[in-house]
Amino acid sequence: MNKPNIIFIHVDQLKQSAIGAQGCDRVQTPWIDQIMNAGVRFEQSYAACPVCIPARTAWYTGLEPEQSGITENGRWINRDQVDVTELGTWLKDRAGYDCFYMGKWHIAIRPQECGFKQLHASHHVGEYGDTALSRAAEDFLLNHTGEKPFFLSVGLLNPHDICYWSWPYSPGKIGLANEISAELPSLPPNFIADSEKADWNELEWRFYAHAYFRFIEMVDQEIGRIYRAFQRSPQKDNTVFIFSSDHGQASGEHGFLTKGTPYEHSLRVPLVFIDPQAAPRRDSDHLISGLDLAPTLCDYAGAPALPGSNGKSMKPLVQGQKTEWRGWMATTSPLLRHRIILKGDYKLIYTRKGGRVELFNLADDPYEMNDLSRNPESKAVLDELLALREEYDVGRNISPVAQADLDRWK
Amino acid sequence: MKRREFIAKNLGAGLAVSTGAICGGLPASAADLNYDSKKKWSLSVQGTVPPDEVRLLAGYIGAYHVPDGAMPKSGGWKVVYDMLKFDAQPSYKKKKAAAPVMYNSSLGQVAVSRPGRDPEYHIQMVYSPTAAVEEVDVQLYCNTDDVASIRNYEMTWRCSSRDPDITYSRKEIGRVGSGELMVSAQAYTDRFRIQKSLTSLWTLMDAVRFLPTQAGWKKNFDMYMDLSCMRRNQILQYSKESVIQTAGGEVPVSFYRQIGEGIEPIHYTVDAQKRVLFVTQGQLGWALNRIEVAS
Repeated sequence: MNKPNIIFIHVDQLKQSAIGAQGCDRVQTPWIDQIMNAGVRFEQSYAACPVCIPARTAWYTGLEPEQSGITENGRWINRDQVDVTELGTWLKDRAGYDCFYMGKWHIAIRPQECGFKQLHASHHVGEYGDTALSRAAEDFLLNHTGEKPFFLSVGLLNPHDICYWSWPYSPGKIGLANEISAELPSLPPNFIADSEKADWNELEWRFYAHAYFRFIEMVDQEIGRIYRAFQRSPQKDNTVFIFSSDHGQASGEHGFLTKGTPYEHSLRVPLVFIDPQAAPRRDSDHLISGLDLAPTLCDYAGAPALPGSNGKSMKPLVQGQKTEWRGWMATTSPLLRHRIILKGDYKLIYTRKGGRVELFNLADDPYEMNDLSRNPESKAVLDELLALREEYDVGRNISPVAQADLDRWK
Repeated sequence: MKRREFIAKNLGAGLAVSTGAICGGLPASAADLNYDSKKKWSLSVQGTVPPDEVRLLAGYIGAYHVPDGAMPKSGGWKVVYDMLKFDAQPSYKKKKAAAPVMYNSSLGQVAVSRPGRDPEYHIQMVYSPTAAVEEVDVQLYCNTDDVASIRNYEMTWRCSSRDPDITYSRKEIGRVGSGELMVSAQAYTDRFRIQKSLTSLWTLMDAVRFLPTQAGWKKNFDMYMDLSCMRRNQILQYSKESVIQTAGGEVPVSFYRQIGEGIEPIHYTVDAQKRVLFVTQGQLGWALNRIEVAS
């Protein structure tokens, strides 16, 4: 394969467990399912930080939130403090790629170009703009000609529209929940009604969960349009197609709404690579971080690894080659409030303020309902993960902005 | 050859018509559509919050006067709807607001014309949620069933922006038959299996006006939203009667509710003169701006 074209389609706020191909029976996602089944699917894929801007900034810089200082939405990288390499510029200058961007940006780098040619703006409401965006992306894929290989990144908004339902003047027709009660899903097993988050009754919480699934179906059709265009592309056999989400979503799990939590609903995301040189399969063995995307794209493009990135290229994993991979992994929640350590079946959540710990066996307890941290039989695992947590945190290159985040939890 | 004859000839013969990209602009009549994206309609602190079915149009409804004009079943009309976005203070921030302040602003307009009794529609839309302007022009032929299900259509779609200076354009022809929707464009033909009547939002906005207003009545169908996205397994149901307080006074209405895959609940608001005044989905709403004689 020559330098492949790379298409990266990403959605906003899609948790891995809310996809038909991942076993969810409350949602119809025929196109996402088709994509998941056509590629190498990484089932242990985690956001670098489960909110939009930190997760996307990690994708496009390879930097951890601690390094970039982008630990929360509404921030921009301070170039005086942080040595940042932009993925678009890097692929353009070091690998000769034409880089194109369409749709949601939310990457904490100014100016927005960063080596990309912007092809289509986005609106922060997916219902308003995702259809035109997918049509524009389709048009590009069907008609693009160029001497150079290209990297196309398309950021669809939905199912992010669910965010607006939880805000003070919700556009949601929540008061009509009783009228469609027969259609509403049951609440997740780890549901906790937290009236501080939303003053809803049980039926209204179920309506909220129902609405989330419908937003996923809404964007599924747009993904299908882009996927069909990819399949029709004359350069399909020299193109790698990637699909993922920046982070997940909570519909009452553990008492949370939307995102930003250290739990699986928020952190675990779909990730699939359709690579002409890789047979479709499910990979549930390797721990993947959002930090790994940029190194992977560099590897595919034949560019050197991004400076400063602690991510690893997934290309050997995708193509079934033997490679040394991490045995454990760390991630974080917004403002570095929690450190999360994953190893084998176990997950440690360390809350910086007060030092609270939770330990879950995800194989036995996917909903994270049985905290093993006080279970004597789990002490050895707990001690090991706590030691890894300390080792990881001590070794970080922390930007001044991130240090201020850490200081607030002391 | 008229466009209608062109479609009837080609599709009637079962040919997969693949047309070229749009040449030139949309028909001059699209210029009839105009809107001011900077105009905002706010719900005042003392304003009445309308029923949940149309609450997302609260600001607009507070200033609304039902337009004059009739939409006879025999056709001869053109209706223009404002396409409205919902917003709320304090701009989606998680802060406590002192009073309900919701407002609407315009994203575009859509005109639905039905020249005569035949279920034949001309749709024009100008829509601009971002810096890009999306323009749609459709000639759509339906069946004479209760949801105005699609027989065939010809659509030109264009999306253009100045920064970046890019225009995407397409012409598509769609035909329903033999259990599938076939969509042909210059570069491809798509086939979508369908098992129920397939309708569009734009034509259902006409058909819904004459559906039963009795409790328990419901209809199953599929919807091809914007002639772009398949929304399967839809259920349309008569919901209830209500009264909406507008600037022009109280308006008795009937609500129909649509739920199904890939949509947030859609509500159709029909007044006593059998006109659809409002349609609302998740955050997008349509409001009847004016009624004209179809040309």
